[in-house]
Amino acid sequence: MERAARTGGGVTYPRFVELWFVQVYQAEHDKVFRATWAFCGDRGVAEDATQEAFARALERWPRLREQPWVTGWVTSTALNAARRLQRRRWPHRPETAPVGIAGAADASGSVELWQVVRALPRRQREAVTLHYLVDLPVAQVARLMGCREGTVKAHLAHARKALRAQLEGSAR
Amino acid sequence: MTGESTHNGDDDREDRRVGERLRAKLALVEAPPPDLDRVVAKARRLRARRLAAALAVAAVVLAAGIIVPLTVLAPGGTDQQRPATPAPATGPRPATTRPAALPAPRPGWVWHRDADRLAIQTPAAWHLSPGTGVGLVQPMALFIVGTGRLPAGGDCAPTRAIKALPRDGALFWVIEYAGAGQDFNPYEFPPRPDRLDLGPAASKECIGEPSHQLLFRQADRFFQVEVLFGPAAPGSLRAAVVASLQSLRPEPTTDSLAEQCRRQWVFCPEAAWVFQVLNRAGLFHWGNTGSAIQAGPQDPKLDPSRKFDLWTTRGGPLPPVGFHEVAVVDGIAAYGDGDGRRLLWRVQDLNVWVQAEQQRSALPHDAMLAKLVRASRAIPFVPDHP
Repeated sequence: MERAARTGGGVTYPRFVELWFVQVYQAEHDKVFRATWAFCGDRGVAEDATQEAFARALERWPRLREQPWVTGWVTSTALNAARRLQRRRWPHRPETAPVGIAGAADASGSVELWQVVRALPRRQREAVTLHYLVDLPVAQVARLMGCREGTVKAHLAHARKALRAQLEGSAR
Repeated sequence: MTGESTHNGDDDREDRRVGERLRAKLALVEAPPPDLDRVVAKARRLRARRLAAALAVAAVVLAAGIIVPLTVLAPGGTDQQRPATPAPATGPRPATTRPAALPAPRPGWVWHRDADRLAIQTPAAWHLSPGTGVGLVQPMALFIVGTGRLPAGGDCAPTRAIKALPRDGALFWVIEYAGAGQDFNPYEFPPRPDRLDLGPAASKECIGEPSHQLLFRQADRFFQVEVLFGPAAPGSLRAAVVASLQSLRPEPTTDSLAEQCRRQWVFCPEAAWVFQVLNRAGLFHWGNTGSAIQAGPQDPKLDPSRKFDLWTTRGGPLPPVGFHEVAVVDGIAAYGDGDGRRLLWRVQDLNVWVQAEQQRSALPHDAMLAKLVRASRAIPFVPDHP
């Protein structure tokens, strides 16, 4: 990815948003949104959480720009934001309530699959989202989750067991 | 796939297969278009908040004439010393004056005052720790109080302290909200009542255990308190927790509610009234845009494309140019625009506006409109702040 020339004191948004950030945003937006949606099951929450995560990335861009794990950082931030948004909305909308999934999700024929993903314990769900959906290496997932690689692998192994039936069913 | 070398054999293959299948399924989910302008606007707000916090730290130091580093949650009014802890990066409110003097504490109790200009009285034996151990930034956890030890750690709640809660103990933490956004609805925070009531406990995803929640506004600041008791907590402990919460004394923010209301409608008493109206009408509350409250039908699908916005204005001719009468509910005329996107009626000297967000059909009509109009007439508008 081509890097925009650095400005002397770092980025000077909002007058100027560095081209590099714009490129990262455009390239990774859909991936982060989808992963957050798979994690929380609410399109509105996923959209807001994705916006918030990229805003936080922009706010910290001078420190994040050089890092190879920007997408992981943004996704992890979006997952935390989604949890917070859902917690704030909790009195109005319990997690167990049916969610407003867009037609496209239904069209994928995977409603049950995502329900199984969302029914996983939170840490397993987080590991699945970061490793399988965002395609981050286990080492990076461990770093983002603040635990050891072995713990992430254990989470993934448990999650695979839970997902096996759904995935095998959908593969036929 | 990531090609993790530490995976091997069947595990590695299965790992790859699962990832590929999940990503293939996920690719079918339609993503909304990127909106860089909103991201930039939000980043700008975050940056302003961070700068304000940095300035506030300097202001606190200057105002209090403190040479030593800021001590978070150092008890006030006693000689008791606690280890100094760095002030949270995004925490303190701008301080322009020396903190108000506190009255003498109850016998056996002590005052604590934190860098966020909030004082609270607790029994001297209780523990108190800064909210920096919780991963909440916005809203921000200010501090945690407990009868037992308070190990730091947790994402959106002090998870480790909750796990360490003694059977006969209590734990509570105070969260402050600022800067209206999708996760902060100022109109949900009523003025603090004279007597705080814990109410029933309810489970929340983030906390795991049933907790009592208090939401209130005090000194133009917005607080949420979560309270947990161990299963064998005595009644006297519950009374002590309420007494401690009752002693909360926030210093007023320099950004008064009236100022915030001038900038964003959702801070105005009219927004609190609209929120009550939509609850009375049985609508689902989605959040706010800063200048309007987002609502929709309370159906199981909670389809976001059926969202509509509600807000109020005052005065002006009725109907406005381009509007015509679409319904009369209990003598109140509702007007619609030619486009079919907006509705308007006047009640209690307020013009209530409704606008469909994504599609015209989302605009409430017939029974839902009647419920809204009736609720707006039934709920008295109380301007509890200018």
